[in-house]
Amino acid sequence: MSVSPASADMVGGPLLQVNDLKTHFATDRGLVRAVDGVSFSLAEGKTLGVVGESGSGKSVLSRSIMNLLQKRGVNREGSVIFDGTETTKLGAKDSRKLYGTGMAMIFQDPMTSLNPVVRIGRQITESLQLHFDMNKEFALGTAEELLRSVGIPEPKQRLREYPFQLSGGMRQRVVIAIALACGPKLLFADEPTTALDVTVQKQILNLLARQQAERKMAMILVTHDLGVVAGRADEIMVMYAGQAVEKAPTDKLFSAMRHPYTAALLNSIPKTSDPSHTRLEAIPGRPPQMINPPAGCRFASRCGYVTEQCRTDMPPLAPVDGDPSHLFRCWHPLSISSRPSSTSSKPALSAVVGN
Amino acid sequence: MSAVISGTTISPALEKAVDTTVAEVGNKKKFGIPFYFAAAWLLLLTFCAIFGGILPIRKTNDPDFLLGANIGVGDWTSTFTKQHWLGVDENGNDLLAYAIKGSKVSLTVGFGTVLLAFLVGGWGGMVAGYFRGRFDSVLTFLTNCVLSIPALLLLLLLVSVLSAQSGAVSVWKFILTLGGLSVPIIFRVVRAATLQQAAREYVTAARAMGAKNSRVLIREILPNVVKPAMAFALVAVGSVMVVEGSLSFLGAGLSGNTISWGRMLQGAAGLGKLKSGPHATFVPAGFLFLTVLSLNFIGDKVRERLEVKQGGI
Repeated sequence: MSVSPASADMVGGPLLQVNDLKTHFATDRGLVRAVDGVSFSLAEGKTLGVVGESGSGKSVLSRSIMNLLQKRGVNREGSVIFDGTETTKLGAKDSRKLYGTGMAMIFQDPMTSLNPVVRIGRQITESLQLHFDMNKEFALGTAEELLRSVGIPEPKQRLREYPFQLSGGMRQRVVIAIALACGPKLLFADEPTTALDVTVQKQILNLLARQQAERKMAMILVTHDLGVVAGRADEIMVMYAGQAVEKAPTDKLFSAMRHPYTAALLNSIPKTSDPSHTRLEAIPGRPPQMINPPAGCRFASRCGYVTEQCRTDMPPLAPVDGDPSHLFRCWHPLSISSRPSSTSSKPALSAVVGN
Repeated sequence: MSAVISGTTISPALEKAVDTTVAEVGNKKKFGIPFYFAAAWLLLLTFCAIFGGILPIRKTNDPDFLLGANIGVGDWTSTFTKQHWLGVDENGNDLLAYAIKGSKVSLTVGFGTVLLAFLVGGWGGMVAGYFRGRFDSVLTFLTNCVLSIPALLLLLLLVSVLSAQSGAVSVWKFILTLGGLSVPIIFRVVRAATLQQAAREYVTAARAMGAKNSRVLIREILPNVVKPAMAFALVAVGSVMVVEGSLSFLGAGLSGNTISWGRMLQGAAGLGKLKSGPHATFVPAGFLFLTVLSLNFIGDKVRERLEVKQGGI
């Protein structure tokens, strides 16, 4: 990595530091505030879970950090410091050097994130040849090793096949192999299991965890499912309407959640301990319009604890009892006693993690 | 095919029906016999067009005036002889030799025009569809302008300008004119396909691995665009050949001493000639018919095959 000489001086600092990142889309109907001032930092080798429902801005967040959004009509503000380099000020050529070797991304749907008419071998070797100047034969050998490491049987044969010849789970393994090819320090996994069967989901998540541990790679795991991040993330950030509404280390979040939205998300997960035919608790209403978001708390219209203050004033992202690792954005945070009874501290975590 | 499914014996009739369905599904992937006929016709024609000069057939500059005179007295059937398989026209010219010589011109015009249109319009469409922006707006506006003028009018105008300038419209000038006018159509087709592909996630994925725009365009999008474009191109070649035939027939196409199917029709289908010697019209028309039919048929089959593959993805 020779992106910046500063990277050597920054040993010990966080791998990724995002400060007040805003991503707004100019549309015909107005400015869509998809990501509205998100800050966090991530240390090397750690996992951050980003959780939120559809339209909360979680996918845009990861694309915005990587600067993969198209330039036209997109207004991106804030700073993203990766490995000591301010990436928002990098030119196109320097950011390309960062892709693959510094940051890489796994996409939601392996049906569309693989090129349907290009052989799997070439899709993997492409970036190896680009970044490391490997010759084709050596790159193919590396690709074979990669496929084997992500658990694909008969990797040599697979190199010559096309994506449509593989099953969904196998395809996602190929996508992971592609992302890992150049040894990234940070991996974005944008809902990596949403398009897969439940049985395959766990395999893929375990594969990601194993690869992450082996490579000492940091990961940002984006999902709508608290259950997915529960046992796998070091820290969880809950997003709602483009903002972080609660951020805490995983066990703290599950044992002492403060934001009603976090609790509502957790409640909407079916629990194996429930008797059969228990109705799922959905969150009523829909996320607010992102064009002219309400002035107050964005969750106000769906929140059970709403007051007049919630509708007029935006709550700040404040620490819990002076603990800077646990932040939440609410005027009327849940106390331990007022939390929904079904989600009392420790059982909550174990219920979603499962066995 | 097993006759026993989960312990139940099924009737032979049902089993046969299932077998047929399986066979039909299997056949879907095959091209079928008509496809090979079409391909064979095109290959034969191409072969004759290339090697027409050295094949043991009559020469176009060796007319049999005596035989041709038979048409004048109303006896056109007598012109089919051992030397002239498809007869001669009223000037005694061998129709097979003319049709083969004409096939060279018709094929050149057909493929040349489409190739030119794809080289210009295809690249323009890909670049415009991928980068969008002002470049795209300008090109789209220009193509809309060209497409809003009746194509026939524009063609007649250009051809008459060309012939006024130098007397005769050669094959190359004709290709340039017709190809230039086809650019907007190809531009739109390729731009639409590129727009569709550029929105797919594999493009973002490629960029996320550090591929630059030119690489994404050539290595990722081009292979996806080229196949549907190919099916369109084959049908377009047929259309161009028909346009050439129509224009030359009207006297507004190729001129000078170039022989093409259209020019043969022009010479053969004058007043009263269709009655006295219909074969002189039907030979070039038949060649044109079979060729365009073959091209359309192959184009359709290619498209079908691609759709099957897309469904599997």
